[in-house]
Amino acid sequence: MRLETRLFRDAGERPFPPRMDARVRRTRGRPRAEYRPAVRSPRDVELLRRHRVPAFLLTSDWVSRSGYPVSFRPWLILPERLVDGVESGFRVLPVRDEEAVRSPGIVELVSFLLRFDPLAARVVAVRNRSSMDPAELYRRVRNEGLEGPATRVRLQQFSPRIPRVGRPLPQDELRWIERNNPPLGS
Amino acid sequence: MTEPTVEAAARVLRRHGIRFVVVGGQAIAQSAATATRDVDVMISTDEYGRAVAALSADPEATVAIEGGAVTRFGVKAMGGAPLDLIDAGVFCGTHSPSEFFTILATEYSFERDEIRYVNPAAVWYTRLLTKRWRAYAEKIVTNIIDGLDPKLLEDVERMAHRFGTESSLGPRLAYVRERLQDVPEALLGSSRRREAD
Repeated sequence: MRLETRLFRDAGERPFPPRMDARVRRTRGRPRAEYRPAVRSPRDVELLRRHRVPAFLLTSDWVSRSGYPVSFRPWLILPERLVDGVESGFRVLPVRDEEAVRSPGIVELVSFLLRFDPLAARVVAVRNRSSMDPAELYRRVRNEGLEGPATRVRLQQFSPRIPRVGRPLPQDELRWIERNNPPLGS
Repeated sequence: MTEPTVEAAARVLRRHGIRFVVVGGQAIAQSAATATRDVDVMISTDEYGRAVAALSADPEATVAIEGGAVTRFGVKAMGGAPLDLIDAGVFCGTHSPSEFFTILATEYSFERDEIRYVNPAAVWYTRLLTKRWRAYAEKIVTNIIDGLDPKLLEDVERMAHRFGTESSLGPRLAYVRERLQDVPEALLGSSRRREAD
């Protein structure tokens, strides 16, 4: 069993543009139409957000600016239960807590990275230490069930309450990764 | 696409007649996302000493870190990205170093923009044989999430068998596979689809 979310447009609300080819069906006599928007560009993601749909496009540009120079194909971050409600030309990174997608900051970025590049998460956390609110990081890691990757890259150094799951990577290997990936402009 | 830093490294190495293959992150970058700025090149053991001496004497290059099988240079034309010269002998197992280098450069590499890069399986093979193999195991999982075929791990296994390094690599490959089990299905979409084909 799983929960699913569908998107409806209320009467009077502006529709998505035709390029997002979104309408699924409209029940007769009902003022609301179900939508399954197709997202193919950063502009489409922005439009989704303006329609208050929790979606976020994670690009390598943000990660690089946060201290870990990297290049990867963008991820469309969506709440798990909305994944089937949006058609995406981007690869999708599902998250459990839709609040993380609404207005992501550096702690949320670390939690997104833990899913697909824990070493990047570590380096971003180190380089943004002053923004690593321990309670916030604990909440994100716990909400998303990311205790394993958080332990591997020793995020307990930033939030000691995060439960240890599995074995951490040797400290000297993590330091070496930090040294070997200097921030842009260094 | 060839990075300007790799082109600059190739120019300086060719100026001294040094044979090399690009390994590490720049080789992976030909097929997957990567974080690396530095350029790692592998040199045959019998040429390694001469290569280090030639670059050390080059006014365009300065030795940054000297250390046995890896020597790091700063090269002006590379704009701050380091150039690491790596001795192939570290990875040759039961083969002679020069034989290993020849096999690597002919059978496990490809050419792009007149520069020879080793293929992803060969990068993984070399990375898992280093002392920082656990961190590299994380990178391998990230490469697979990024779309590289997990079946390449079988190629690494075959390389280990061929070069007689199974006893070191076997447990490390098992570690990578264990890590892969933890990755949610949704993130391995493209890799799993390829596996099913």
